[in-house]
Amino acid sequence: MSITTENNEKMITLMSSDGEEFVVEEAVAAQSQTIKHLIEDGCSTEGSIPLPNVTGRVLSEVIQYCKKHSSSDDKEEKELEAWDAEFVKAADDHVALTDLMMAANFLDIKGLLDLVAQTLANMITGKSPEEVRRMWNIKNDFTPEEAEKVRKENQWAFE
Amino acid sequence: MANLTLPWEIVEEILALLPSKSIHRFRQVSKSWSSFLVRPEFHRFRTKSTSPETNLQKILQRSAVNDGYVVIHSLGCLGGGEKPVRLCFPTEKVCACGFGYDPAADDYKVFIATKPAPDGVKKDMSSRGYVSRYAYSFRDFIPQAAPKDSGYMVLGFSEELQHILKWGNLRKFSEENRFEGILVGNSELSEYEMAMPYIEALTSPYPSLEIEMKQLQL
Repeated sequence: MSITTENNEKMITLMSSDGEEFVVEEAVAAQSQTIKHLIEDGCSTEGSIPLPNVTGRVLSEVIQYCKKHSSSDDKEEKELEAWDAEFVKAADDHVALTDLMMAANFLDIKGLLDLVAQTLANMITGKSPEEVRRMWNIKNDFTPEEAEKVRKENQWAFE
Repeated sequence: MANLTLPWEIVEEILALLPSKSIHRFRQVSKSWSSFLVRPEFHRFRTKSTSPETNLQKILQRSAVNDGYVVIHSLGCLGGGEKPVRLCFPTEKVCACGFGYDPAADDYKVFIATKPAPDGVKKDMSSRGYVSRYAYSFRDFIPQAAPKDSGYMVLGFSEELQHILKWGNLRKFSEENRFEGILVGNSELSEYEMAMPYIEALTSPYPSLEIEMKQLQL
């Protein structure tokens, strides 16, 4: 469905995996390369664009980001940086950030992807391998001997 | 959402932003992380996204010579950030060594220049007296614990190499110390010719370096 506002701004509807609908300006949604291509291919004319990989909670965050970044111009760069910092801080923990990153990856929003990747990188830089495993449910599949070998090879990185 | 499975493309984006120390530590996370983190493709991707300065010339501009070591301040990829990288001249038999990416073999190599150049080969350089002797894949070296508080990574030789190279350890290298265009492992070239790009970069524009190098010549 295509709705037009009084500013003549074309609106489109995005639907999350859990059925939540978001009506946003096309320019905002088009920050996502994935959505942009869907619009260009005419997928938005027959109703809303379904986004089966993104929940409503995550999608609302993504839209927040896109709104902010489509309304700001270059000279507001400093302010935008501060906004970005607050934005990832609000995402709170690595689970939310990981969800956000997967959504940014699927929707192909480079700025958001870079922002979240850097935040997660900063978060894990000082962590131990065990902590990283726990964060992302990664199975330690080394045998004790293999683990010892890798540990020895990389011992300097623990000092 | 308790069960997080990370697609590799996402892991790669995150890991590429980490300092080298974390990357080495995280080789212990799992087998797939370990094999992923030693892939040259990963380090190339990482270098591209993090560091504008990769060529040896640029790195050497910030070099100084101390106690027979060339101390190179590099951005450090494997090495460890802003800390200096040490290239060790272990015995009087080895004139120079270095570490770099060999595009021909798509591999990182430790490069060791030894022996005087044969007479008459490339006159202008023969006075320097170096010839390429050894170039081995980085994977042939075993990283070991560094001396306490040194902040260095020590690269040791695997057993297979120890009988060829009698000296102990190469001190901490950085993958950032790349040779641009070195042709190692190309059988068309003589050993001496192979050495040229490296030796030129190492000796020519840096007087302090050259003095020290001369003392170390055979």
